[in-house]
Amino acid sequence: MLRDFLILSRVQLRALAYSLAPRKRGGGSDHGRTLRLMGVGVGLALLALLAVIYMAFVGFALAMLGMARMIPVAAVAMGSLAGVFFAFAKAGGMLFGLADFDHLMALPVSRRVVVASRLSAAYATAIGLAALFMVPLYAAYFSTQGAAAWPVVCAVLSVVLAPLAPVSVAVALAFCVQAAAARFRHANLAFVVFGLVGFTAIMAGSIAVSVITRTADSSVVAHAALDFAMAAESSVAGAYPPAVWAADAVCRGSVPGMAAFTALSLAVPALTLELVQRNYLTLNGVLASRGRRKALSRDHLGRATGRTASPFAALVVKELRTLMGVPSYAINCVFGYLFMLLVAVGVSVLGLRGVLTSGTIDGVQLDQAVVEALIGQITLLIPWVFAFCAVMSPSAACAVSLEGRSAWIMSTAPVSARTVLGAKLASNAGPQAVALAVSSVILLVSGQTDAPGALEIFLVGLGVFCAVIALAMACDVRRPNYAWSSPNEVVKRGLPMGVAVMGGMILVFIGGAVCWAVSSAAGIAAGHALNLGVAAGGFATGALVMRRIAREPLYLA
Amino acid sequence: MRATQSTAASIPVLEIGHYQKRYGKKVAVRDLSLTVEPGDIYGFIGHNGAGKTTLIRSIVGAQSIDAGTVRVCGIDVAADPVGAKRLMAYVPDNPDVYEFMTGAQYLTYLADLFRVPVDARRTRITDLADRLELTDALGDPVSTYSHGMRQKLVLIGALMHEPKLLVLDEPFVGLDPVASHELKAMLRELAARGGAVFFSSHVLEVVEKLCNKVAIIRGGELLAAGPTDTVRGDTSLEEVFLDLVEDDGRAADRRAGNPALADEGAHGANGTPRRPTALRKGGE
Repeated sequence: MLRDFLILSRVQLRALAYSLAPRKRGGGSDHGRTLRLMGVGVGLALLALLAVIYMAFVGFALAMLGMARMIPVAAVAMGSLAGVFFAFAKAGGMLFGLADFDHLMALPVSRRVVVASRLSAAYATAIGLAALFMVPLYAAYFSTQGAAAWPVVCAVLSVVLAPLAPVSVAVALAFCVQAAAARFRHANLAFVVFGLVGFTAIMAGSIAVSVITRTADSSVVAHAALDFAMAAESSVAGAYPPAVWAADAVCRGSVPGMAAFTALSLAVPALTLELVQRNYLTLNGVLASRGRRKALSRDHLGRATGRTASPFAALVVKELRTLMGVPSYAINCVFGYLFMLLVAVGVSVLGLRGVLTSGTIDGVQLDQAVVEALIGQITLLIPWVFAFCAVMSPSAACAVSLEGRSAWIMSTAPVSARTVLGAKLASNAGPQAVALAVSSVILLVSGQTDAPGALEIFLVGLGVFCAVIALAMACDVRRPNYAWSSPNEVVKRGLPMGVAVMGGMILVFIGGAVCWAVSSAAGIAAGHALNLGVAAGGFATGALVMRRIAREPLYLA
Repeated sequence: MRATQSTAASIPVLEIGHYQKRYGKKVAVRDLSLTVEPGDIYGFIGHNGAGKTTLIRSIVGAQSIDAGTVRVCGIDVAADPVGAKRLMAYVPDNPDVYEFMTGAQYLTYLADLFRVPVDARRTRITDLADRLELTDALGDPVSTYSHGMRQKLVLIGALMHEPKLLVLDEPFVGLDPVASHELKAMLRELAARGGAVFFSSHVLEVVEKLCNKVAIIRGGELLAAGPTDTVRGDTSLEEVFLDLVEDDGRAADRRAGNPALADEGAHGANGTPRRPTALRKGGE
């Protein structure tokens, strides 16, 4: 049984490695694949290191603020939630609705082992993520509060146990959502809308909390922080009591607390495994049996196919359909547009001076006098804030790979590479231009900027975006990866997406810094000239790169 | 007018000259030449990994060409891929279609790319969908389709713009008998209109009955090509194919009536022909 489990688990690991570095048709070099995998490994290690440093910083900051008692509860709560999103997002395809479901079921392996191997991937990932969040927090806690053997053992055990029960619940929830989605025609659209509404609510809430706390003096803030800590602890206790049981074991060495936490953390996954494996065929059958089909009559079909568009327009519409047809892709990519509009509304409501002195922006602590002295230069940076939002939404970056196994359609369609790539860029730059234009108009109408300033925001945002997207598309055209099993993977792990987002952010930070330096040395007018020069340079770079990649072979193996 | 028609008729629909394709150091197809004339239904057979899909992907522009030429109605696929693609259509062995679109959306999308006029697309889509019994399902997302339904959808998309050359890779896999029958009729109609069909298949009986010409490939090399009757001679296409693709020694043994090979290689227990060893190896 263990042997079968290990074999199935190894296949999953190989599938993951293959999706990250697929073999080319006819072989390809192992050396290249190894290098690519090593590159991915180094990238992940760096991200993990960043997370560890950040969490350690949070842990020590809480201890210094006198909220050390919050740390274990926070650690267990975060560890519990760490893998929930992953499990929820990945359950479809990993556990339910598998591409290789029939093949797996036909293997001479017990169903329990199949389900266990699939669930274990979710649990292992969750434990890994939990370790990233929890270990630095515990390190901060024990180094400031002192460490005894039993609490340390409890802490170590809690890292492994914390994600198990929540991940099990997430898997069950994912199944319910997928089962519902299989029945409703516009479930994907509803998912996107609700996701974005939720995101907007979180962002608006964060801004509101920041604005409210800025009104209090420091002693009030400290009291408020303690009150918040108490409230948070009781909230966690109410929402997820096991987190407090484990925290009790880590803080006070509570044996019953640890025993209860362990029992629950092991019982829920065991129960989940048993429930899923017993109903595995039924569950997958539910997902496979789609909602009642609406038969199309000849008349309806005639009307449905009676619209015409140019190849370019058809390609743009197809790209937009891809975006809205894959919820995770849409939420990832529409995020930036929404963020842009929220920033515009926030600045319009609070006023630029109000935002700068509110402490809403991390690390920016300016008083009224400083703001007044620097307002001219600060205004120069507004276009860069919107450019930052723009480069967060690079849906076109991975567009070539996004065709996946359907790439044959594009490779046999009678359209030029220029039309295809142009449509991909337009489908992304169009909504981006609209979001930038609306944001600029909001700032203009609210009196936060003048007409040239609004135009500068629009041009810098779109210019930087076009350059970044064209460069990322060039990476994708040169090294397309059609081995991804879902668009979600392309968006989350694709190289061009990383190039666009990370490269774009670096470019924006450098651009903003240079703009600040130039305006300090040569005056505000020089700063505006630089911004406009960057915008023109961005458009020119984008056009040149697009022209170049339009000559590259597209969708050819 | 007559001179123009005569010139058009003399241009092969598909002309492959000294085609070669490598994957790294491995030569997948070596120096292959063949011609498909208007009205031809051309069968392309070979064992798994022989190079059929490699050639087909190069014809339709999904893969680069290392040496030689591929021309569709006189247009060089490498030099003017868009022009060549306008004249042909492709049905792959795995009909992977955008899952987020409905069948009707997919067909409208293709009609726009191939610039099919509104009236023509309406008529052709409804007619083809009716013939393949897919009309009812065209309002549903492709993600709900079975393999056979996707195959039918791709076929409608391929035939909708009335291509001069239709290239298919294992088109009969996954189709129900009615759809399979309709497809054969559609291929004959396309050929009768002056177009041509080039398809790969492992179903030799279908190739033998449907195709007026056939080519046999082994290990990337063309072993035989020409009118089906000529290639087949007095025997069946299966016999010819087995003789050509089997290792020389095995073929000689079988021809000499080696009883061991006859038992385990050429025929099954019920006397039906069995695929030779070469056909059972690897995947393409």
